[in-house]
Amino acid sequence: MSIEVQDIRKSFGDREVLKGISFYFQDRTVNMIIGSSGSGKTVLVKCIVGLLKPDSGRVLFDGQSLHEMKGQQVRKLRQNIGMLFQSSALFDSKTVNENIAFPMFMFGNMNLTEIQKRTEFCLERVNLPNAGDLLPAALSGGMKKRVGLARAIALNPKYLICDEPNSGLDPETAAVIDALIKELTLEFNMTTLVISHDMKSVMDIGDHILYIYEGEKGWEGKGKEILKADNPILQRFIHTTGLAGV
Amino acid sequence: MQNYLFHIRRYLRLLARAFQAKEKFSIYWTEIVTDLTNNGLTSIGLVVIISVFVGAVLTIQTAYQLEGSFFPITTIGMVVSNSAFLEMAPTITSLVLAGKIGSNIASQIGTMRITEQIDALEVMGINSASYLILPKIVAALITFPCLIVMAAFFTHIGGLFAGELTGIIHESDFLYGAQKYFQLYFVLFMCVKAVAFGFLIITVSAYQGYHVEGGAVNVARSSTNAVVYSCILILITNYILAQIML
Repeated sequence: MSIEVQDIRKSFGDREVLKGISFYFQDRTVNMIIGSSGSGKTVLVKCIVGLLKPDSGRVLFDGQSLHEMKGQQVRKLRQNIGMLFQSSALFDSKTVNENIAFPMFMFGNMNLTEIQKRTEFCLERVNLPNAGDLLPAALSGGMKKRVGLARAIALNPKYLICDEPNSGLDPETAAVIDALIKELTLEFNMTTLVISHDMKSVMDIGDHILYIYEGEKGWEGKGKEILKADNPILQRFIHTTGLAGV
Repeated sequence: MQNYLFHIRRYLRLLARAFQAKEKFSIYWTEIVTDLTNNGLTSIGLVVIISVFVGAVLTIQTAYQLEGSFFPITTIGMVVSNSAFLEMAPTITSLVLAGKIGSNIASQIGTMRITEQIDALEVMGINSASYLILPKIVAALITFPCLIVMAAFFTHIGGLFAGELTGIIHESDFLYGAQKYFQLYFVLFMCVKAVAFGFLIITVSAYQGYHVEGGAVNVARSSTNAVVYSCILILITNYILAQIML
């Protein structure tokens, strides 16, 4: 259940966004990817899930290279990836229930009753038991993230990937989402990757941290080790974001 | 020139992906029914209004041009009928539908692109091009011929009523002229045009929406481009089909 990236490089035109990043994302833990805006975090995650093809380097899921997999293998792998997008990316023409049930309708071998049960379970798990009939437009930012999480775990994935799950949320709601991500990771034994700008959540839920600076790996280590990191750029980043005071 | 070639290549690649359907048929069926309703049923009123007035204007203008000539009055019925089948119903209706359906599809898919809904489909392992575009194509291949046959019928009705109301031509003379010079091949020609124009409107608009980058301004631009390019391609295809089939 591990994810490993090896020497990933990606350019857009003349601009090299990722300059050879290698990292091993530990299984059954929350791996945080941090860095300032434009450092290449989202591009790295998009390369990991296959939305972008790296110019060179490899992404390995359980030792198997994503970009060497055949179509059917990629499809199967992706069914094991749950992703929470920055904008939640809920299908706005579908209700909350339909959004959560969608991947099960597409891929699951469940009948309608089982799908309904699983949908109810996922909604309850993210503490939104009565929101099933609402449309995404009627939800608050925090509720959208929770529905996004419910949809991400619908197929019981091995990997959970969250792109800035706290963006646009108040601190209290952000803490709820963080706690939920941590709980779900442990409960479902997932390998979780979280891109975050919120340094409080780095300290609260981050088991392993990858700091990216201008497309390169600036630092890697475990949770609170970051405070003692011997890297002036990272220290400046930490102090600017107020992490040192957490 | 290179820019046009780039777009043609990318358009063909998108079409190739759209026709690689890998999802369950039931999923497509639900989407086809939705598109039949959204793009077909909701367009009936518009098609009827336009066709009735086009037919009425055709009758009045043809009568005006024939005034004082040696042509029998039944010629008006023939001109209105043949114009309806050959040009007015398929081309005018398609140009109007390009505005209604084309802009709708481009903005719908474009919004899905910028709100990461298409990325969400891809991460789930769903062929987003196929899921979003194929049902619309299938629905268009059903709705366009139906709408255009309906348009031809109401163009006749409009012409007939305008002739009666203004006293230009009696109903029996109109119908005599329309029937005497009727050719079944014209109906076939009209249906071929309907299928071709429907396919163009859906695929060009979907292409414009699918490749939107940025924000709302670009969604609006893609919507405009969808209408403009659909209209231009309809007119070019109209010429080519007339050259080949008549």
